[in-house]
Amino acid sequence: VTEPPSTEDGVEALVAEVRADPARRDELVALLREDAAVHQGRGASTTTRIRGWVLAAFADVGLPDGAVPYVLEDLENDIEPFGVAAAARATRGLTTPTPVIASALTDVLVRMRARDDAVTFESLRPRWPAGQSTSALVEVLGALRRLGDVADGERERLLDIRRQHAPTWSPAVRTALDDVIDGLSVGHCCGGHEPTATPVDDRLRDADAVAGIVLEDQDGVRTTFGEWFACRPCVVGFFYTRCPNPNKCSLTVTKLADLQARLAVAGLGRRVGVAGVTYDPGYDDAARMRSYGEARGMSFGPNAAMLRAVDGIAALREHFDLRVGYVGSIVNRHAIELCLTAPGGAPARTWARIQWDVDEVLDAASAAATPDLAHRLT
Amino acid sequence: MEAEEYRKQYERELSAAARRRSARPGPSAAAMSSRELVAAIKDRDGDAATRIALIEDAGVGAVGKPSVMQAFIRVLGDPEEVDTVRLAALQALQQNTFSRAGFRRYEADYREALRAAATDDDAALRDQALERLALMRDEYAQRLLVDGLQDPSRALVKPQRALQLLGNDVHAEHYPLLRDIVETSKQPAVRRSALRLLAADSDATELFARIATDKSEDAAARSTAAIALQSLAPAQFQDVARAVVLDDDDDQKVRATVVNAIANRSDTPPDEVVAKVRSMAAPKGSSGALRSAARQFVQQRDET
Repeated sequence: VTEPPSTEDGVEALVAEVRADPARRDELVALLREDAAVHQGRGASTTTRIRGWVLAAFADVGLPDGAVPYVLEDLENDIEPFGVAAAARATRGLTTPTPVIASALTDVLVRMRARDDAVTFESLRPRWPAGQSTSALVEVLGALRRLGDVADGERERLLDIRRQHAPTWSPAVRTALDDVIDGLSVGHCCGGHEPTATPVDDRLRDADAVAGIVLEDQDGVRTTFGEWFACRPCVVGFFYTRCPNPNKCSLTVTKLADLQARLAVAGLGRRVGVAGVTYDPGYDDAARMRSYGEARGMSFGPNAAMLRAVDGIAALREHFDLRVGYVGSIVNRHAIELCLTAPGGAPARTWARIQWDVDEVLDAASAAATPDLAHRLT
Repeated sequence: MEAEEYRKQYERELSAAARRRSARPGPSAAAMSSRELVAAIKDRDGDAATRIALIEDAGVGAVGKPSVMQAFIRVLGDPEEVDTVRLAALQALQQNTFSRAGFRRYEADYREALRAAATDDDAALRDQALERLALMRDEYAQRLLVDGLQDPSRALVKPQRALQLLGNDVHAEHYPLLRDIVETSKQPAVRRSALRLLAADSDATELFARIATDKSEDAAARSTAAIALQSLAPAQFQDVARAVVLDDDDDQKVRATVVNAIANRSDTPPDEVVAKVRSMAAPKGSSGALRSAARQFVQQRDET
């Protein structure tokens, strides 16, 4: 197995090889991981451009199963026009499109309604004026149209979108929307198939390697990983306060606060820990974490905290297999990720990339907090 | 471009536009139908001055006239068009961006046209297009600017202008390039601009400390480095501040900057630094900006 390329030229060459031999398309999936070598040391916009170039290739070579979560993630959460357009283009490579994809594409139209931009997929480092350009919203609508009757359930939502938002869109986008709606069958019900993250049971990893890592909470109080995560299962969400995407860290911490409140109502407030752990411990000091958590509804106490690794963030990344990339010490891109840990801090179950469902995590945390299930997790 | 120079240029442009309007012969946009107006604006064989006049006339409130807006965008994005007409179209479009909701439908096309103009042969058009894109944090514009800083043969604007534009959205991936500029550039203004953009780079603390204490360095660069160091590494800054404040032979402007900086911090400097600054605040203890800074420091200490 060859290592994924770490340079833009290497990515360009690999994409060209895969285009010539689509059976190798799985080789591109590794380039989508936030911690892939090619993304390290690059800025967020460069990373978006490289990932987008890779995603767009799937339209031609076919979309492998391993890339589908990345596509759904970008459709559901990305706010960069090029990234969204590339994910939409990638859906052309699906062998069996589903209503979930149609729903995710429809969601993009609402989220990106005021953020359209010209995009081109002519090359990894395109120059303008481009020979072939489109716009992010046109690309999304083109993808919806290709889904055919799989998107029938979205018709009512699309009509609503046309009423509410189309008047502020360009003629090209309005025409594309009209084309999609005209191609859908009337009378189909039940659009809005929200994608939710499917949890993955982790192979329990020993937490000994991280037990000594010093953590600081939102009040500046220091403890160790081993102490904080001992004795009870914990739900751990990952965030950083400088995250520019409201669908990611801000929403994650808001949902953690919701989860914390519901655990308390269920009488499990003392039996399940809830923690937000920052990706950016150099910048996110105690005061920043407190204010960020409080603003999103977190109530701090012995079982609920915002935490930063005073040292050892690299070991924590490895322990939780975090999907995050950096340029220097600054995050350039990350996934949405949430982990349920066994008593002691070993990851037991992970929800990643697509929005996690609070009810489902509540159920899993409740089950883990009952002695027999908790025992099974250890 | 410095702020003062920019203001003067803006005033010159306003005056010139007013003169053009009052002295303008030829057709008026208001007297034409939309179809005639669009045809005249897009007419490459037409007189450039007349077309510019029509664009300026039609620019106000054009956001509600899709055919006129599309004509502006087409002119701006067309490399075969006359540069001065393209520049007029850019300015008319820019006026209309203030109507945010109304402009949304043109946003993607506008950006595409700006990107096409960003590499034009005409320096003024190029500069204006890059400025608009840089303010939008456009990845393509940033790439062009970085390319030009790395390889002067590809530069679209002068280095200081490129740094100014990059400053709208500086990324950590630019830090190595900026550090290199600080270390190698012979132009003080360029170095100062690069230093300012490095102010959040935690890997540049040693560079800041070295420049801030090097008396052979440009005084403005030293001041910039000192302020950046104070934000990034307060403990290291205290050492620098001590060296600068206690050295009577050091540059007075740099000392004034450092005294100002320590005046606005909550932690207490070493006793010898406090005593030195108190002596500077005394009548005849120092002069100009340094004495003002010292007095401010003393006043704040005595109040708390």
